[in-house]
Amino acid sequence: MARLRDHEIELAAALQADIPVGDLLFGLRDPDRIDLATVNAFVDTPMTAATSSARAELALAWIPSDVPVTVHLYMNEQPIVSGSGTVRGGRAFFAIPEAMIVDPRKLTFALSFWQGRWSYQLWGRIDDRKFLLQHGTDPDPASKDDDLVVQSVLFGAP
Amino acid sequence: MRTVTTILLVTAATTPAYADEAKERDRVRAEQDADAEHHLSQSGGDPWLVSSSASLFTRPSFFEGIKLSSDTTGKDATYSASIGASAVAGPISPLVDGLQGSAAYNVNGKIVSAGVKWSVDLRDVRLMSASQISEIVAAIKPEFHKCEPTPGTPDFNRRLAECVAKQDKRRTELYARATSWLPAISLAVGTGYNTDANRRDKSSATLAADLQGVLGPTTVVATANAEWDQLPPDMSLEAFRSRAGGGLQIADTFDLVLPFTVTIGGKLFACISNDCGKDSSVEVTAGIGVRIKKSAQLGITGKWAGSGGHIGDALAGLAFSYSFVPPASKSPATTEPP
Repeated sequence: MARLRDHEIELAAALQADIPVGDLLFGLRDPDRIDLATVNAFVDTPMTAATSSARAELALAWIPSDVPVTVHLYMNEQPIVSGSGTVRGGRAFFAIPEAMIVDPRKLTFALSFWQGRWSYQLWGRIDDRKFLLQHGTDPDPASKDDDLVVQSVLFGAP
Repeated sequence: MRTVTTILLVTAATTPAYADEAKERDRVRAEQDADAEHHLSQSGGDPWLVSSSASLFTRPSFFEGIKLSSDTTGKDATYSASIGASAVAGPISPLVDGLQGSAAYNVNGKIVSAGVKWSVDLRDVRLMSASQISEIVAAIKPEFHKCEPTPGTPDFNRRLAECVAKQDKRRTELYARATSWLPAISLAVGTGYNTDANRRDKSSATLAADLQGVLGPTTVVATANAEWDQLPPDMSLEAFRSRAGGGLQIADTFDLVLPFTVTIGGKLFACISNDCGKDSSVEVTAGIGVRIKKSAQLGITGKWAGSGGHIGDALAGLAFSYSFVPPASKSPATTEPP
């Protein structure tokens, strides 16, 4: 587990410095499966942690990792079943059912951070291809009214 | 030199960039709330720096990246600078983020001082237990389902944002209810050196607790100090003089032309060493602090001190501080094709 902790520190530092974390983040998914009991403590149903067996998934990494984030995910305005609820712990993975990945592949996400000073990166994966969908940092740590991000991005190639 | 101090609590902000007045008012109010919640800064020097001439109270302050400040009382002035751990390393944990180092110089006394302060806000969401969070999550879920936009809803993203905002509002209420009784606390130690006389000056330890929600919107700050003063060798008193003080202060924020904060407080000091050469004293302060820019604060203070049944001097002070917040990141990235 010491190795896992090292990677977590590395992940947080990369987010702080706004360095792409894709490989590191997806590499941490499998340890998460071991740690699923801990992860699930903060994942309210029907959220489920995606596994590598999912063909397509979204991966969210954020700091401060102990700050809960309320997440709502939509593909082409259809709610992603496992993608609505509150997560804590600095990273979360959401499986996207294959049937949902149809054009125009408009992924809409709402991220509501419970406290300021956040940074996040949202990554997508289809099979072995990983791609950064969006990233951001709290524009004003003192302000409470900028801790909600609602955006639409293209999920993968058209 | 006795430290004569006044605090300015500035918990408001304004930016003239918005055309829409109502929106601007909402924004200002939200920032006031946020600042009140996080006690971002206080203008002037920190009172736990023993050479500071303009602070009687301290309160926990967080996220002061790098702060430069000055305060003037009568013909005396103190200049100080502080740096916070989170400015160097980013947010790490609620137990570390409130660590600050500080240094100051007092002109009249020719006193250089340095100190360390540690603050923790027990209302920090990172300190909440899993069960506390689960409770809130369960309660806010229905709020979202009431207004969740359906596929094809015009202006989907705006409707989604409004709906999540409703959920967030409920969450904030529940969170405030669960944590309002918790204080933010700070512990500080500082010591001074008199460069004129080449001797150690006063050292002090300060404990402060900041409570919101016990008196409605009013913030209550309770402070306890202990000070040790090394006297010049030619004085007949014992080499060290110690005194302890404790007091209460209340602070309220108002929003007129500019948002400003009014504070009033009193503190009682008592001698705790064998022979202090003076009696207990009482000090009363009142101050108005105005946040003139998001990161710049201006304060005007008045202070009265009496000791041993004698009415002491009344002094007026002026304080200014400027905080550098660590820069927020660049513009968001565009979507990368796979």
